[in-house]
Amino acid sequence: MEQGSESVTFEAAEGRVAATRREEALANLQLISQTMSRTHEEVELSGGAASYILLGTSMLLGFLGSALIKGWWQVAVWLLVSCGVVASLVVIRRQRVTAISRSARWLLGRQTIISVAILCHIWAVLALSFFYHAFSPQYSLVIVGLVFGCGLVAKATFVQPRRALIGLAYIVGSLLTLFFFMDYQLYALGLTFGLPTIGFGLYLLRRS
Amino acid sequence: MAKAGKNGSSDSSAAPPGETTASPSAASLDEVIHQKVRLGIVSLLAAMPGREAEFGYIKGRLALTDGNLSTHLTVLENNAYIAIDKGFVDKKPKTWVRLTAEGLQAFRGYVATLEQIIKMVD
Repeated sequence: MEQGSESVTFEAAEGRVAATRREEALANLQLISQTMSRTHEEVELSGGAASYILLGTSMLLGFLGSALIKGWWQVAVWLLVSCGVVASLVVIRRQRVTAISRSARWLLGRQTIISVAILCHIWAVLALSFFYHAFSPQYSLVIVGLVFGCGLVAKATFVQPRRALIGLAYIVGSLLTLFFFMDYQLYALGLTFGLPTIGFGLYLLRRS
Repeated sequence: MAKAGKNGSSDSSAAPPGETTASPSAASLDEVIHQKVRLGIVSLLAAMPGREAEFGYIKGRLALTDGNLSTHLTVLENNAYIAIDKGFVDKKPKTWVRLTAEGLQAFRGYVATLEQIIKMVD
């Protein structure tokens, strides 16, 4: 009888130890997960405010410049804007690299990829419209606005809800342009893409 | 007893005596990484691009003092889990801390062990 009760007590103690170990293991995994996700987020957002202000300004200048300047000069406008954006992004990120890490992989952050993707698309649209006259760049620009807008909203839902506002601005801007302002598309895109992006950059700057 | 570091030693270079670990009862866990501050350091480095970070950045992120961070880095370095490199940026001295291949392997092993513990109890 005594042996039986001892066995029950031992099993209960063993169970408590196992439960404690499980809780500690869970707590440690949570610590690892939090540290790693915060680091990833910091790495991606480093220089975030400056990147958003830069990208917004480039879209504002690029689209308004394209609306005001016609013909091959549009290429010069976008060439200047592209060079400015890429050079500034590299400088901004390089400064953070030397402050935190020396790795060149730092340059492949989300904002750099998005900025370069937007610029590449605009360049492709320009090239197609110059060399293939039947191509209409207008719808392509609306599509890129919708795609980037939906992408930002989807990503922001999980990561940073306020970032969804930029995505929504891109979507609304693209749709308004498509249905009401197709004749003034470049002005509309410059304002609806550029201003919210600059605004978000200023918001990040104030928060930091 | 918790497992010692890579060298298999349980001397003072593996873990300073008297320091608190996340779970003293956790058998087969790497004691070097198991200590909470060192777990934070290794997790942070594992998430960095190039698995490398500057001393000041780690200190700020983990809210540690210079001395405290140095002590834990020495333990990790003695077990070859990290490599420390000193240099200058704009004439200012900088210390870079990099997670080595051994360190990354040990970290992955540690995470796998934690997952095993959770599964075993489930």
